[in-house]
Amino acid sequence: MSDPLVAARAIHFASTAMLAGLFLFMRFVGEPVLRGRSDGAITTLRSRFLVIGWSSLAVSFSSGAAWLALLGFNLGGHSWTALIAENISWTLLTETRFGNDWLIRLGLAAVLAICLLRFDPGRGWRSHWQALASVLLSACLMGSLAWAGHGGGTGDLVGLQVGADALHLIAAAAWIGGLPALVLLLAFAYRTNPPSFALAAEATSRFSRLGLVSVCTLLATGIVNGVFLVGSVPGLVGTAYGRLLLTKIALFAAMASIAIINRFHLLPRLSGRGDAVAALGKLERNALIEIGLGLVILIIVGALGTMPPAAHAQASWPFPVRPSPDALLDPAQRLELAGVIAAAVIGIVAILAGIYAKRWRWPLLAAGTVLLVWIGPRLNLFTEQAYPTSFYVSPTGYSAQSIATGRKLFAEKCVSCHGPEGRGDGPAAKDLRPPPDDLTAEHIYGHSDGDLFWWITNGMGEAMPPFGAVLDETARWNVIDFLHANADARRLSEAAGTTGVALPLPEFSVECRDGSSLSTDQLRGNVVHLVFAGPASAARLRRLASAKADGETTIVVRPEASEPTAFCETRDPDVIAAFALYRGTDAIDGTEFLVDASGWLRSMWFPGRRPDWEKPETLAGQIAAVRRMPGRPRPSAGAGAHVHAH
Amino acid sequence: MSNNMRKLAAIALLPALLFAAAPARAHAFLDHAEPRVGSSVGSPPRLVSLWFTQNLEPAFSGAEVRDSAGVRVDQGARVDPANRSLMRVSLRPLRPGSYKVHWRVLSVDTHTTEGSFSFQVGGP
Repeated sequence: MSDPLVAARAIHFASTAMLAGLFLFMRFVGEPVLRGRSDGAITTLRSRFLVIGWSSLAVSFSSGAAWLALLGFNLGGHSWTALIAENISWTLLTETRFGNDWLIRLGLAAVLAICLLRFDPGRGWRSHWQALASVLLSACLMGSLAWAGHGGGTGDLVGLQVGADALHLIAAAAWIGGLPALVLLLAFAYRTNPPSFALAAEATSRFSRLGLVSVCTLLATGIVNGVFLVGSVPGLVGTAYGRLLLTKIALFAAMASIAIINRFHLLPRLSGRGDAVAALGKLERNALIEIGLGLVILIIVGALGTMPPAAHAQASWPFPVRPSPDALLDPAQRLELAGVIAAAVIGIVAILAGIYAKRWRWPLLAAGTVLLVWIGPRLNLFTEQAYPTSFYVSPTGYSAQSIATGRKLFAEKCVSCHGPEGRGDGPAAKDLRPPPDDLTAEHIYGHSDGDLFWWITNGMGEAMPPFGAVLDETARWNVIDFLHANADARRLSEAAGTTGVALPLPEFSVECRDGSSLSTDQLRGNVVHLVFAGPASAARLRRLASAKADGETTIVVRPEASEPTAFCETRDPDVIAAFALYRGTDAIDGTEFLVDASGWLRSMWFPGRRPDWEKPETLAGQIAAVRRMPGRPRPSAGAGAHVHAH
Repeated sequence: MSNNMRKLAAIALLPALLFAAAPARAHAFLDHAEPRVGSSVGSPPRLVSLWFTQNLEPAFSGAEVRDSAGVRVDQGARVDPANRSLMRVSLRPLRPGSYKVHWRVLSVDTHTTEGSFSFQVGGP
């Protein structure tokens, strides 16, 4: 809580949850239980509910104001004078989404204040509509906090993310925020003479039902948010954000366990056999523990909202092994894995049953242990060695520029052992034990970028030295991009004249005649015909211009000094250097490529190669063949996961 | 669209896809720029375009471009009203040389991020 912004956020989330939770509690638990009662003690209880309401509202307002002020303070370069002199708070309120939301929420809070004023401690809500309105308004007040967190970026699914986040917040408020009122109600039932067990039982039972709806909503929406903000297991275990989220999930599990004890262990004792007084006391104590856990969760929420989500950070894998995707691709191994998982479940169940059961204890424990011991060595089949960087994601976006840089670096640092084309045949290779790998062989596709990053950084075995001190991080990613393009080049030339391969297209951008600039990502949807023009290409380009087909975009890459063409084009030497890899020589003039509508590089042609793309009908046939290729999704640039398909 | 389908599938098939990273958005980071980060361009650009991973708050987002002597060569940055994740910086006529772009933006979810990169104009 060293950052005041984290504190302000946490306090605002907590107080708003208390306010919204109170209204939900009164509508679904408090008033149905107290309905029809109107003695002085009940009036006192309702007045205490109002105290929770007014104090939550006051804290929510002041922490909201503090949040606004602290944000303005940060934006004004950490200066209070700038905040006031430059009227930053006003600009924030009127010109930003956060500020507009803030004003709407201020309005909601004002209407909720009226709702609190209209609540009569003697009789409860004056009308059904008043109860309903206060529930809806307070849900809006809580749910609208979704826009103030990591919700609401760009894209079409933003509605799903914000909606899930809003429901998550409302569900959390229904549970955590209802607890203080529940404690007051249980304490009231406890202190009535004689203790009112029926009242406590009905309240606990109703609150359990509310809690069940809340927990189911929290789980479902939490999974949606997790996919958006964490995205993967490595993100969960390998980043500060993910680990804090795991802590939060553990606290949530503790709260849910207490709720289960309340519902199935303590509640039945209130209405029947057993010590009802002790059970009521425990229910009250458990509600207090849940409040404590809930407050810690809300503090974590306050902190999480100020941290970069795991999906944006490099995840450092904390385990020495990871699940091996190769094992899952093989049907026989999948069957064995299913067997191992089943054995593990049976083993654990047997051990748990052994702990609880009085008869059969030792046989059950022994059987469970034997099963788990049997599983141990078999797990190796489904795991492979992992490194802290195994799930690192390349930041380069597989750009042509990165590949070209990597190509230069490889020529400087790597060819002496790995050879000019990475085949493991460099001049120094013959003395090395083990010999250098062929970096164009199939195995290169089996390693994650992060594994390659680890080996380049730290070396491999005796023969390969570490390059972490020689190449900076970006340079290492550049070399990895080169390795992929270089291995792809071998496959593209081996697939001569066919469209059977699908290789990631290096990313670059082109300028069009209307002055616009397009990246290769933006060209998707059309088949792209990429032409590397040279001095002898003028006639070829004229013919292409006159025979342009629908749904096909021609892109021209031309040397620096040549004349502009009628097509979208680029003169980027890095694009030429990257694609020269596929051609196998820097004399790339006249080479042409086809890229399918999903952005996969499909085939290459150059003068003299069969079939002859110079013939319009042959080229049209090739384009039609590429268009018929089943579309497959590609990760967007920057998402980084390097996927190859063959 | 394929990206969206991927995410929907990721939510539906969570256990199967736990190890596939889904791109998320929050905090505005530089997605790409034109001229490219670290690139060398032949003719002097009139604009620097910056594409971010999230929508920006125009009131608190800006960028400046300086030459190797530290002199500002831009004429102000503007967030595209039609695409709030795109910021354009208009430039004075540039001479061959090295230029540094520094950006500092506020995303709509109130996180400030900043960064810088260089590009070259002309010359080999």
